[in-house]
Amino acid sequence: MTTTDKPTQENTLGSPSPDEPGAQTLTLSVGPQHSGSGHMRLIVELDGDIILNAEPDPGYVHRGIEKIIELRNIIRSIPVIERPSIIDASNLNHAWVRAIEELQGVEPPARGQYLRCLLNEMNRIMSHLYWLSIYGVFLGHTTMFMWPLGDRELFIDLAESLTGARITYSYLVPGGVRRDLPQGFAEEAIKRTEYFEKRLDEYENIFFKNPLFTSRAKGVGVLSRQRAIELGATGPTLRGSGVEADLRKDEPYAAYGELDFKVHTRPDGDSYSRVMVHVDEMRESSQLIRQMLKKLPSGPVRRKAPIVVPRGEAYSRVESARGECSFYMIGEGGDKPYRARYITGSYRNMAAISAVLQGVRLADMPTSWWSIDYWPVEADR
Amino acid sequence: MTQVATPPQTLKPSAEGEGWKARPIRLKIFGNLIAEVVHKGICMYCGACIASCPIDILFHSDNEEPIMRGTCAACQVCYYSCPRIELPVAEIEQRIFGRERTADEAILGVHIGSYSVRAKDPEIVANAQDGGAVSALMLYALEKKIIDYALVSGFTSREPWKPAPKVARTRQELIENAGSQYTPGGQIGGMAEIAVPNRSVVNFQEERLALVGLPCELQGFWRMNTHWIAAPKLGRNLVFTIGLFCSKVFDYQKMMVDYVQGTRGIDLGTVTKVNIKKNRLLVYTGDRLAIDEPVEVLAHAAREECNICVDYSAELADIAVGAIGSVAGWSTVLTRTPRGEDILNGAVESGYLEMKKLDPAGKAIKFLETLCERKRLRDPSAYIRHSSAFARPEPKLIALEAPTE
Amino acid sequence: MAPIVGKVRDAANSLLAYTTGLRHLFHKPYTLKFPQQRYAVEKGFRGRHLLHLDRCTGCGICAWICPEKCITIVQRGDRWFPEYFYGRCCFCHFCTDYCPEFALEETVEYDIAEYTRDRLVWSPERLAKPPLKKDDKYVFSVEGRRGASQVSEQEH
Repeated sequence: MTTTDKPTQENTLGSPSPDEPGAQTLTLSVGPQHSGSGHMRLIVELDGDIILNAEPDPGYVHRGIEKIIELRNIIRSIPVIERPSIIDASNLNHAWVRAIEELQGVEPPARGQYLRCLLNEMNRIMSHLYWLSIYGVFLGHTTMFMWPLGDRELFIDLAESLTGARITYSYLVPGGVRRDLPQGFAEEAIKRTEYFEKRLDEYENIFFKNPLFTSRAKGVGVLSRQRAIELGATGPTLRGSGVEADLRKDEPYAAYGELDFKVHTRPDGDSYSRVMVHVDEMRESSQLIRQMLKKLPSGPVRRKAPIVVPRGEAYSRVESARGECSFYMIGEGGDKPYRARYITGSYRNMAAISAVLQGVRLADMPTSWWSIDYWPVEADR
Repeated sequence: MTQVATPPQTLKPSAEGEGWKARPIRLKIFGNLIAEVVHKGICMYCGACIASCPIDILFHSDNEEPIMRGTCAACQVCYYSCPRIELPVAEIEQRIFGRERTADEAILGVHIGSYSVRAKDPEIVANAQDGGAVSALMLYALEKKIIDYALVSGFTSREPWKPAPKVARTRQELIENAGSQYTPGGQIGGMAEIAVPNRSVVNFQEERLALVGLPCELQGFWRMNTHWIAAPKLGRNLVFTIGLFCSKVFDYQKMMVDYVQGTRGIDLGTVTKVNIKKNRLLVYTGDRLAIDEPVEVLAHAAREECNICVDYSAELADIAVGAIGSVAGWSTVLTRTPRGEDILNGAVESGYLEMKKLDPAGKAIKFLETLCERKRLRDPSAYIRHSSAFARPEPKLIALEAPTE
Repeated sequence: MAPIVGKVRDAANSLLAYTTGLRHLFHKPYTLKFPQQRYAVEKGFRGRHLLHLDRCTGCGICAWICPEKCITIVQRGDRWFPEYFYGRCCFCHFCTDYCPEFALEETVEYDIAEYTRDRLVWSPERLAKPPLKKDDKYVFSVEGRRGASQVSEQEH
């Protein structure tokens, strides 16, 4: 591991430069703190201002979710598996019900599948908006903190009328979804997505074109394409490095096989690319919501699915807002799984944090690290 | 029904989290049903228990028995939905018809009119058992938007000639599923399999349904809808029921697989119609009459569970349909409720059926009554009670102390 | 030349950012003055539960399915009813979904704050009281005063 930048002048404090024997770097503990995301800690090794090595120290929000779901039947586990990422709960819920349905051999009706995807895309927008607002405040742009959170309310209200809750919906159950569309939902959702796309243009004006952001994010925290694939990154982190990988297109599940959308990538792999991939995805999700409402088939939304996990193994994965969320479930015939291994997008991207922060200035650490959208609660489960 | 018990001194409060086990009374579980009904040989596989399970963990096994996959929650709903645990006929008839039977309805059950009908649509008549009354009435109700779907008895692709409940929403589906089968098909269980009531009370567009079933299956349905611990919400959207005249059904394995396919060597996939008429078993493959034998050849295949049933003419249906009492190609129809009468008359006026009145004192009805009386000789004392001692008890509520605004 | 063009572009973008933001200075704010004005929840919002005593059979499915095990089945004479502990309830309403008798209903009442934890245990009788309504719209039991909705004026 080499430094990328030698200090250009003599260190007046008298400590030797790192190459000399007996040299010391400063080990800084960034955390444990809840810095807008979740409780986490980074152990950063600094040479002056440059980060030599940054290791995430996860585990502060570990609640033993995998053990909890071994003790609860599959319906009682639904609120539990949603909690790791409350702002992206529907995608995590989707992975859970897909694993169970694979074991049970139940297929939800078509309308149920579309409603699942509808809530998933709304959740993707909501999660990205929350992430964007924290990104803004990490860079000191408080307008960019307030505006996305305010626009997020548009979709929270929609989700509230559809599911009854603002964040953790518990809407997807094995066999379908719990409720049908309320009256007037389609018109309201179309109006709101159109207004939201205009707001994204305004964000472009105040933030994405703003030199306060571009000069701090372009070329900073580069994750090369090769490195991203080696480290097993997923989601916008991977797509920001030029890899066109999206589970909705590669292994279409639910209604995504019938929908028409693009997978957005950016070639550079710096923080700016990752941020813009998030923004492009928001636009795509907005368009997808309108498409789904137009194509929504009629029929029941739920099929009978028992509270039982048949014998067998199943692996399910979905594209959540932060990457691939998967469940590997082993059933033994009772109403609880024997074992359910739960891996989320943030857990997979943890390795990319060290790679991204290497050689970055300490002041640029929030810019780079937060562009990966690492959500500690999701990673720790 | 439930023993009143004094609560134990150390009843844990809600904050402790074990509250669902707190009831210190003997609860009925699915195992009680197995012991008291299935293993005693009186289960007719109607599927009422399967439909009423709130957590959907009951299924029909391959030989139509109810089985449980998962953990029972001891909610007692399946137990009190079973018509063979007890069937308070007087209470149920009060609920369906609003009155008790009169003296001259003792044999045929409560009824308004008796008719002989035939469907006018030639495709229905070609596929139907007798006059196509069931298919034509369901078609009328679907096309006039009286119901959204019909739960009829058809076949699954798994095993040939094994009946299963099917949802029919179009004319084509009704014609596909027309015709009678003589083995049990768990019709009420289909209400849970197929017509899942979306349990959310918000935003749910409930679809209205009509049901076809054997007398025992309708007994199961009405038991489910009348006992206060059972699952009445499944019957909320029922518009009308059609019952079929039934003497007994046969075991699928013994009748179809062992006898028709095994002994007589007829491939079940080629069978198009099975009829039991005038004590003869008639099996058709296409236009050919493949089997024409006395029904005694199936004596070993008869279900003993039918030996305790006394309901021949579907006394708990809105409309009862069968072949007895009409000439070949026509069906006998008894309307029992004003709704049934309206639907029959509506179907006739709209041109789906042609209808002849049957004289209540005539030969046809007398023959029907003879068959009903013969079935009445069986012994239903295991489950039929004529009291309504099972009404919902009144709670002893505690007044709210602090006045909240 | 290129650095100057870059600086001019940066300056133009900064100006664009400021003017885009300043335009919103003249828009109406969306602040609600609590407690005089309250957030109107959507029609399907999942608040506290409403129990229909005439339909409940005491089967205990609600208690069995509750993810947080907040429900105890308590005795009232010959009948058994659920008692809720709202301190742990996550308002998922699986109990409402799985009740075989439609005895539980969703209401939009979410202001159930109390000053002591034991008052968060709602007896069946308290659950059976429907939420206050005026002209078919749900209203809060307090209108414009401070304090929890569930705690009466005298108890403050």
